Amino acid sequence: MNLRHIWVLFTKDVAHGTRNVIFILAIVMPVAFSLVMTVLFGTVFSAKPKLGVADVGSSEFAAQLLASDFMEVTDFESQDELLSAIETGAVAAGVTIPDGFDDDLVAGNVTDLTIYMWGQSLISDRTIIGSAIAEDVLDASERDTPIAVNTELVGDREALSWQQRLLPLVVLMSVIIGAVMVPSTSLVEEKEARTLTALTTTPMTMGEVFFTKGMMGVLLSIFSGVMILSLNGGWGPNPLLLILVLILGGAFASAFGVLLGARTKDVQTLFAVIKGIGILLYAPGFIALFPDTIPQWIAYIFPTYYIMQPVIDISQFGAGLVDVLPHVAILIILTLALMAYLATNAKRLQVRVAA
Amino acid sequence: MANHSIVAQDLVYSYGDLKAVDHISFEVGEGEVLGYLGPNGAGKSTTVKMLTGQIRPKEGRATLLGMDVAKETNKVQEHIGVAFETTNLYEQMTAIENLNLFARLFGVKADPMELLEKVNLETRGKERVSNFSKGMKQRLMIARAMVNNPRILFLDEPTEGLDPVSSESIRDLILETSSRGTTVFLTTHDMYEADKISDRVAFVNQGKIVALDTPARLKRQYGQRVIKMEIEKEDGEIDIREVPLDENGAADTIKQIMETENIVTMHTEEATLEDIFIEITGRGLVG
Repeated sequence: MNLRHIWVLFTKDVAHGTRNVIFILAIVMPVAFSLVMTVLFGTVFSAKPKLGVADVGSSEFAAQLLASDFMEVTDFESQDELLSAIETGAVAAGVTIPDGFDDDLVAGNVTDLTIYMWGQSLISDRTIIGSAIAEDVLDASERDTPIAVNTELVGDREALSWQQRLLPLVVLMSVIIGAVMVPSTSLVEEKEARTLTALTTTPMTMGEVFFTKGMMGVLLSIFSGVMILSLNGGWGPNPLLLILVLILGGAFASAFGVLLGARTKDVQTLFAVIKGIGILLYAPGFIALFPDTIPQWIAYIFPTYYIMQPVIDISQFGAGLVDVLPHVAILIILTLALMAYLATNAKRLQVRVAA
Repeated sequence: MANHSIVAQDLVYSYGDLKAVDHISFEVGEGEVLGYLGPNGAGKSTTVKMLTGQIRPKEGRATLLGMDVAKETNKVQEHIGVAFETTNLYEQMTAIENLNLFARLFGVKADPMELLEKVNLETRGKERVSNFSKGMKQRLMIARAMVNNPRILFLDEPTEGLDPVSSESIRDLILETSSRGTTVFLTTHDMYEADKISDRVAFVNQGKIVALDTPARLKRQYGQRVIKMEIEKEDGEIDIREVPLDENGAADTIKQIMETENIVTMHTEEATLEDIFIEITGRGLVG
């Protein structure tokens, strides 16, 4: 691999390929879809308000908050950590529980408790968090409440909201459109214009061309994923892990896009193939739309499931590396297998282009 | 061997059952212009693809500048320039951007304006290639092929579709390039061009080289020199008569005609490479 060759072609692609319709669509489509969902549902990601708690002592009250069903509560080591999480929007609000808080509460010594709110948090989240904390304070103070408020659920308790069902599809769109479409169309366009032949009669190898096109796809899918997560405050407590999964997902999808581009003769055929296999790429997202009618294990047989699920687990449920490791491991294996295939077949694919 | 820029030894390539190149061998010396002539489907492009490292020969070996093309493809490609018959430029980029891109890929510093001047495009450097005519694109591809100052230049139909003035300037450029020691492998249909600028020509037919020599020697070996005369008959009609010069008694025949007939015009005719190609292969170069 000659890095200079890769850099030269990459800068050319960035300078001239970005005017391409597919390139623009790859950025606009997932972001537009996500924005539509944001308008409809408030935010694409978790419907539960996110609260951060920094428990300085070992408070029962804090434990009670952490066990809340209404909120997604994350435990922080210190108030500084909590405040920086709020500033980045990782949590919508946060509260620091001082040492001896429980005893003071029972004794009636506490006069106020500060809730730190993220400036861009939703009004609904602020209301839920405020009232939930107030209710828990009342419980922990062991005092009688003036009235008893009963909550009764109406409708199917197990049903998932459309927002939750559509989320996997948004995640897949953000990764796949850029990573599959951009490298494949870019390669096929180079083939159609015969510029690929011109490139490979210079010291640049077909493997280097593949790598450059794939790299463009990875970067675009990361950009798209980051945009969607940022627009929807979906970073969760492990943003670095999320980025790692986005990189891996982008690498897998880009390798697939390069393979598609290498094997396809012209743009018309490519679009026909993408239409045909698109349903397979997005299948895990569609399966997630109908949890009651389609057995969810079917999604496991589609490789893109191993991109989608870790992203959702991390951003929605605050999963850590250990939780998503099995899925990530499968994703790594699939990516390496595809890359190995491309590396060993680059020369043969060059002959197909030249012949 | 040391002075041979290109050595092809027993090259074979087939597409499925179709043998496109069938045991071809030849050498091209340093600074030599070799005209590689043949009709469509004769195996010319396949030979070029093997020599430029785009495909590997099924059998045989190609060596450029002493390096095995199949084994040291990238090293070989650093020293060659290829101008293709079909346009393959980045159409959305300007002429200068196209040349700069390839100079950067080769890792060389090239002066795009100097290259554009060589192909008479110096005033169009900042224009997008998509606005260029076919002839201009062809000239730009030749400039691109020279961006790395190659030691071997592969030109596939370089003057196809060009006006006579541009064609002549390209031919002059090829001769100038070869005079500086660059070997030129010229694939063409144009017999006039091949005759004018090639040191040697190879006739390719059905994947085989059927003749390889200097144009003059080929003409001597296969061609016929004739005297062609237009004779006015008594009824005013014009009769055309040809007298082969290399046959016995040619002088007597001509003398007799001159004494007895009314000659309107008389001139000598030399066999063209096309005539020779037809004589050797039984088919023309076009089609």
